[in-house]
Amino acid sequence: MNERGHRFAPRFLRRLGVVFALVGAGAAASPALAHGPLFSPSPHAVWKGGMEVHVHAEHFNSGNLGAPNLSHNEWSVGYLYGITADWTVGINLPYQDGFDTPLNQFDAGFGSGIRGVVLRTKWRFRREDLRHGQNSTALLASIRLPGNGSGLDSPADTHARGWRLGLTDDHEGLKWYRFESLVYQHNGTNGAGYHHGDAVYLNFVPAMRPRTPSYTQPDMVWMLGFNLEYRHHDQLHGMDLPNTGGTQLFVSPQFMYTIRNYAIKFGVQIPVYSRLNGNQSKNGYRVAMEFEWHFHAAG
Amino acid sequence: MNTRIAIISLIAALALGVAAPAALAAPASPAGGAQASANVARATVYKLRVYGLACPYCAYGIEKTIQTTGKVGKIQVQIAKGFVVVHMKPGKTFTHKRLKQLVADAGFTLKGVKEEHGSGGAPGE
Repeated sequence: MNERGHRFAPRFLRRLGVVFALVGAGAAASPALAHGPLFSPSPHAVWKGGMEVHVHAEHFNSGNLGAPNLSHNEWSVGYLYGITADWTVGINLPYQDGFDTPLNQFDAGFGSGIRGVVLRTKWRFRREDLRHGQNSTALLASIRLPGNGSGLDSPADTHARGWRLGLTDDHEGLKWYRFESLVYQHNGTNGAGYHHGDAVYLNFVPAMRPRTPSYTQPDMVWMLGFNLEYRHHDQLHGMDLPNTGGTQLFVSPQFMYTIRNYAIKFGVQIPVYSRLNGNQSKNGYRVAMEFEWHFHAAG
Repeated sequence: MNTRIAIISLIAALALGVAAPAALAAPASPAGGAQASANVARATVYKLRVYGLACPYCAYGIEKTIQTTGKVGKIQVQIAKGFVVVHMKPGKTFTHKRLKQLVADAGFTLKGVKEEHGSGGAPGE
């Protein structure tokens, strides 16, 4: 039970809320955009004048920290707009339910509440249209603003601000897909001088569509993501902290089911390899689900 | 707070449950009935050879981009064949330059146009 008053909500309602969040509503800075993987970005963009509304839900398990109640859920509502066919801008409004694991004694973690708004953009600077497919490459950037809606963003919360830059590439065919991406994440420094280590993410996601697509029929794409994460040491007043940072590899089976302009994505991210500095616990698993709706600005 | 979240999520899920089937049940074209069929039969039809088509979800943009011009009666997207068939309203036409721009705005490349007048058009998928 946390400070947001869980005791006032019957347990079944809490569970119902989580279920509906996982089914239809939805997390924080989801990297997924348009027709791409759940745990990593893709170069896909909505068309000129096109819009996307998505709701994203995630459950984070805190790993083997000996405190299973530190798992938490995140969900967010996001909006994207296509300025051109290759340039998209968007905003994400995240909410967290449950306590985020403090990284160490210098990090306050994060309780339930509204987290920092994420502003994002993507520029697909290369697009090669093929007879039955598409190759494309895009630059992406996002910034997480300090949260101020709930009063829970303490000065020690290093999760509430930062930025990302990335490069992503894909091939999409009638049957086979693949997505690659390289993302750099910079985290902010809190009021106590603590800086959560910057991270680099390298992702490779092969995917397959079992049936030839038809425009008016449901379409299913299966994906298997490989997500490599390197995180630099955390720092206190510019000095590296020993038991922080390192490298982890995750595998993330997932699928995307679409019917014309509606999409549902579901996936699990599982840690399979860890090489962490000093004495640390590896991350737990993540479960994520997203619902997307595409429509046109002019109706 | 969790009660509120649960209620909001429930409303959102119900709204999606109501809106999605209704939207899916709606025809891709406002044209319907015998009169509309007769009009379509007299109208210009463009068969567009489009490169880049691979998934229905992404192809939705090409339908909406062309449809919002207000000149179009019906659009058929044939992903596996790489064609988009545009049935114009009677008396309405596009220049090839305009068609190329519309397809580009949707994020694809127009590779060819076959124009027919007074035809019933190509079969859909």
